[in-house]
Amino acid sequence: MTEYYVEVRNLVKDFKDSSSGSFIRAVNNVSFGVKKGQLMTLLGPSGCGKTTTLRLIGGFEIATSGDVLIDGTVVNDQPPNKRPTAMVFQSYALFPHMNVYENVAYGLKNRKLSTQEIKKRVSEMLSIVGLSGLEKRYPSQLSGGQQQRVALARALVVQPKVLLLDEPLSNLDAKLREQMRIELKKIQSNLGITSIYVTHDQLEAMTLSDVIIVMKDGVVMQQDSPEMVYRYPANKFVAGFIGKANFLEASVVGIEQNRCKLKLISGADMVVGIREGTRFTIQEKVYLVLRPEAARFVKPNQGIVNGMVITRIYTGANAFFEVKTDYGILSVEIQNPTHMDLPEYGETVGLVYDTATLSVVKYE
Amino acid sequence: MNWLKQTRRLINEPLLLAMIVFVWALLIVFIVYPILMVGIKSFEPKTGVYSFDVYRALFSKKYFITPIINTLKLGIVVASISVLIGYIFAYSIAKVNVPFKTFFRTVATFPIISPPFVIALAAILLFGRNGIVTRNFFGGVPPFEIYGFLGLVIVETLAYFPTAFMTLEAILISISSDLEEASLSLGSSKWRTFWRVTFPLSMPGILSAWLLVFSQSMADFGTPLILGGRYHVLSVSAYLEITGSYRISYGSGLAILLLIPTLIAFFVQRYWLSRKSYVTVTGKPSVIKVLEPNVYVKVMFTAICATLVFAVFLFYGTVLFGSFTKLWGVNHKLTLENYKFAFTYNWKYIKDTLLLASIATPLCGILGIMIAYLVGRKQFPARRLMEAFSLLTFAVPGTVVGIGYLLAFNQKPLLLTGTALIIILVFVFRELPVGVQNGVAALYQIDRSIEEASLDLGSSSNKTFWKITLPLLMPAFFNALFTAFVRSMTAISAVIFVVSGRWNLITVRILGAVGNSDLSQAAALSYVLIGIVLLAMFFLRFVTINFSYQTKIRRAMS
Ligand SMILES: Nc1ncnc2c1ncn2[C@@H]1O[C@H](COP(=O)(O)OP(=O)(O)O)[C@@H](O)[C@H]1O
Ligand SMILES: [Mg+2]
Repeated sequence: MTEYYVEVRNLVKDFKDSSSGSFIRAVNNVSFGVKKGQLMTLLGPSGCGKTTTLRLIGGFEIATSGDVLIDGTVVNDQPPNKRPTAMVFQSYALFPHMNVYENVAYGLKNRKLSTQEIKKRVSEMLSIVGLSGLEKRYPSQLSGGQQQRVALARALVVQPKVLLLDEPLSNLDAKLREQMRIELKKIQSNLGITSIYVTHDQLEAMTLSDVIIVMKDGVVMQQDSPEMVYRYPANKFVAGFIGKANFLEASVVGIEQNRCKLKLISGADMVVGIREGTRFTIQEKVYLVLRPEAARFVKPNQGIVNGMVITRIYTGANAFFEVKTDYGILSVEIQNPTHMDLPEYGETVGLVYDTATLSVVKYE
Repeated sequence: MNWLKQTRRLINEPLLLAMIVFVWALLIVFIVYPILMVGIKSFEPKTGVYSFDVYRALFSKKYFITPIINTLKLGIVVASISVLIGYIFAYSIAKVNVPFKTFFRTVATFPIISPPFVIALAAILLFGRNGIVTRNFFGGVPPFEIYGFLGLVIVETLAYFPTAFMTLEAILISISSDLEEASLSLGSSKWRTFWRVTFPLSMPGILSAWLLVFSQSMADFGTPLILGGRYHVLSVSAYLEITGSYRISYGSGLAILLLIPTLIAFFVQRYWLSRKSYVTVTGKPSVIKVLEPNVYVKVMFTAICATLVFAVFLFYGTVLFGSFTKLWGVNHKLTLENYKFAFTYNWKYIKDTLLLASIATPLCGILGIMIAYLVGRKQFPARRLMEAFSLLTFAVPGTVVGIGYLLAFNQKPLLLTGTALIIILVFVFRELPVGVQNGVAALYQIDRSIEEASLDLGSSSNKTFWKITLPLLMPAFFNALFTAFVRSMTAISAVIFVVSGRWNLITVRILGAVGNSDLSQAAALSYVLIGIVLLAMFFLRFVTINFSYQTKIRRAMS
C-alpha cells in the first residue's frame, strides 16, 4: 500500500506521427502520486505531454507501458466508463443537444439512480456551481463562464474519486479566469475531491495547487509544493518557467550542509542556501538563479555585479529595469518604488539580491 | 507493429470486426469489381482472347479518335466558361453588395437539383426547328445549330455553372475582408486589391471548380444524347457501341478512356488542391463584411447576375409552358392532357422510379453513415483505403459504372440483369459518397471530447453512439438522404445500362420521349420529376425542423 490515492508509475506513451511514420514519445517514464483530497497540477509548456498524461489517467489513451493506480487498484485495463474518474475538458465538451439539466444528469442516469435522486443531486450540484434556474437552457445559450460551470457540475455530480481538469479556464477571458480560479479552488477544497489539474499558466498552478509537477518534453522536472518549486527550482528550466529568473554563472568553492559558497563569474563571492540533499561538488560550474523582484540597486562595486541601465519603465506600483552587464542582461523589478532613489537611464549601477531568494541550479 | 496491434484489438470487438468485413465485402463486390470488369473487358476483344487490339483501334480509327477529342474539347470549353461565369456570380454575391442576393442564389441552384437534361429539352423548345424563338424571331430558320458543339456548350454551361458558383462562393466568403481592407489601407486601388489579393487567394478554388465542372461535362450523358447530333462524345459513343453495335469491349475501352481524365481530375482536386488551399478553418464565425463598390460596378454585376437568372428562368419556364401545350411549335393551346397521359400511360415509370429510389435512399444513407463512422472514429487497418473506395464513385462517370454493372452481374451467382435489385444497387453505390462525405464532415465537426465525456460519465461506447453521436449526426444524415434521393430520381448515365422492360425509370422514359419528338410529354414528365424533388425538399425541411436538436434548442429559446 502507498500513501497516495492516485498514482502513476513509469508511465510511457508513444504516438505514431502520421506524416513521418516515426514515433513520438509524448510521455516519458512519468511517475507521481497525489494524496487524497489534494489538488495536483501538471504544469509545463504547450506540447510537453500534460494532456496525454491526464488522458492516460482518465483511460482515453492506452499507455505504451507503466501503470495507473486509483485508490490502490491498478486500472490500466479499465475503459473510461469503468474508471472512477471524471474529466472537465478544455473545450468543455457539453452535449449540444441536451439542456443543462440533461447534461448534468447524464452521468447519473448511467448509475441507475431513481429519477427523484437524480433530480435532487442535479439541483444540489447546480446550486453549488451557481447555475440554479438555468436547467432548461442549452449550451449554445450560455456564456463561456456558465458553460464552464456546467462542465464542472457534470463531472462533480457523479462523485468521482478523482477529478481531472484539462486547462479548464483557458477559454475564458482574463477577468473571468481569475474569478473562476478562486471559485474552483473553493469548490474543490469544500468537496475535498482529489484533483489533477493541467495548465501551462504558472500563476494558475501556483494559486491552485497543493503540489505542482513541472513537465518538459514528456519528462517530470520537479514535483513539489508551490513554495518549494519557487524557492528551490530543480534545474534551469524550472527556475525560468516558474516566475522570472536571470542566471549568472558561478563555480562552487565551498560546501556546508545547507549552504554553499560560490565564486561568481563577476568575481564576487557569496554564500547561498541550498536544499537539503542537493549535491554539488567543489569546482563545479553552476548557475546562480536571480529573481528580478529580489534585486536592489546599490552604488557601483558595492553589489555582486555592475551594469548599465538600458531600460527604465515606471508604472506607479512597480518599476522595471534592464541592466546590461558583462555577463548578460539582468532584469530588476522594484515594487512600491515611490520613496526610492531610482537610477536613471544610462547610469552605471551595482546590484544586490536578497539572499533568502537566491538558489543554485546545475550548469547545462 | 501498429497494424498488428490494431488487428489484435479488432478481434476483441467482434461487432466492429463484423461491420468492417461487411463494408469491405460490399465495396469490393459492388464498386471495385464492376469497374475492374470494364477494364478487363477492354482488353478482351473476343471472349477469352486478351490483347491491346481495342486500344490500338481506338487510337487509330478516326471514328474513335473524334469522340475522344470532342469530349476533351467540350469539357475544357464548358469548364472555362462555367468558371468565369461562376466566379462573377460568386463574386457578386460574396463580395459585392448586389440586391436580391438570396433570390439570385436560389435560382442559381435550380439546375443542381433538377434533372440535368431539362435544360437540353428547353434548348430544343426554344431554338430547335420548331422552337418558339426560331419561329417567332427567325422565321423558322434556327439562329444556330442547337444540335452540336454550340448547343452542348450553352446547355452544359447553364447546367454546371452552379457547381462552379457554389465552390467559388465558399472560397470567396472564406477570404477575410480584413485582408482586402488591409490592402486598401496600404494604398492599393480596389482593382489592384482584387488582382493582387483576392484573386490569388481564390486560385485554388478556381482550379477546383474548373476540375469539377470539367469532370461533370466529360461524364454528362443525357445532354449529348439529346443535343449531340453529329458531335459524338465518349459517354454516348460507349453507350451506342454497347447497346447499338453490341461491341462490348470497344464500349468498355471508350469508358476507360473517359474514366482516366475524370479520375485524374478527381484526385488532383481532392488530394492536391484541397491541401494547397490557403483557407484556414478557425471555427470562429467571422463577420462577413462586404466592400461597397461604386455604383457602376454594382450595376454591372447586378446586370450580369440578372441576365443569368433570366436565362435559367427562361429555360425552366419554357419547359413548364411546354408541358401544358398540345403540340409544341404547332399548337400552343393550353391543356392538362400531357399530365393526364403522364399519370396514366407513364404512371408505371413514375411509380417504379419512386419505389426504387425510396428503397435505395435509406440503404445508401445508412451504409454511408456507417462507413463515415468507421472511417472517422475507429482505428483499423486499411481505414483510408476504405474511405477512398467508398468515395470512388464520385470520380467514376456513370457510364463506366453502368457498363460495369452490366458486365459484372449478368451471370450466376450474381445474375441480377433485369431485376429491380440491380437498379437499387446502382442507386445505392453511385450515391454512397454523398452519405460518406456528409457523415465524415459532420463527424469532423463533432468535437471528439464530446464522445469522450460521455464515456467518462459511464456510458459504454455503444450507448455513446446512440445517445450522443447519432443525434448529432442526424442533420447530416437527413441531408444525405435528400441528396441521394434527388440524385437517384434524376440519374440517367449509369442506370440506362441496367433498366429493363420489367423495371424502367422516368429519366429513361423522358429520353425516349425526346427521341420520339414527343416534347410535350417529355416536358410534363420532367416537371413531374421536378415536383417530386420539390416535395422531397419540403419533406426534408419538415423532418429536419421537427426532429433535429437544433430546432429543439430554438424552441427552448422562445
Ligand atoms: N493523438 C496523437 N497523435 C500523435 N501525436 C500526439 C497525439 N496527441 C498528442 N500528441 C503529441 O504528443 C505531444 C504531447 O501532447 P499533449 O499531451 O497534448 O501536450 P500538452 O497538453 O502538454 O500541450 C505533442 O508533441 C503532441 O503533438
Ligand atoms: Mg494540452
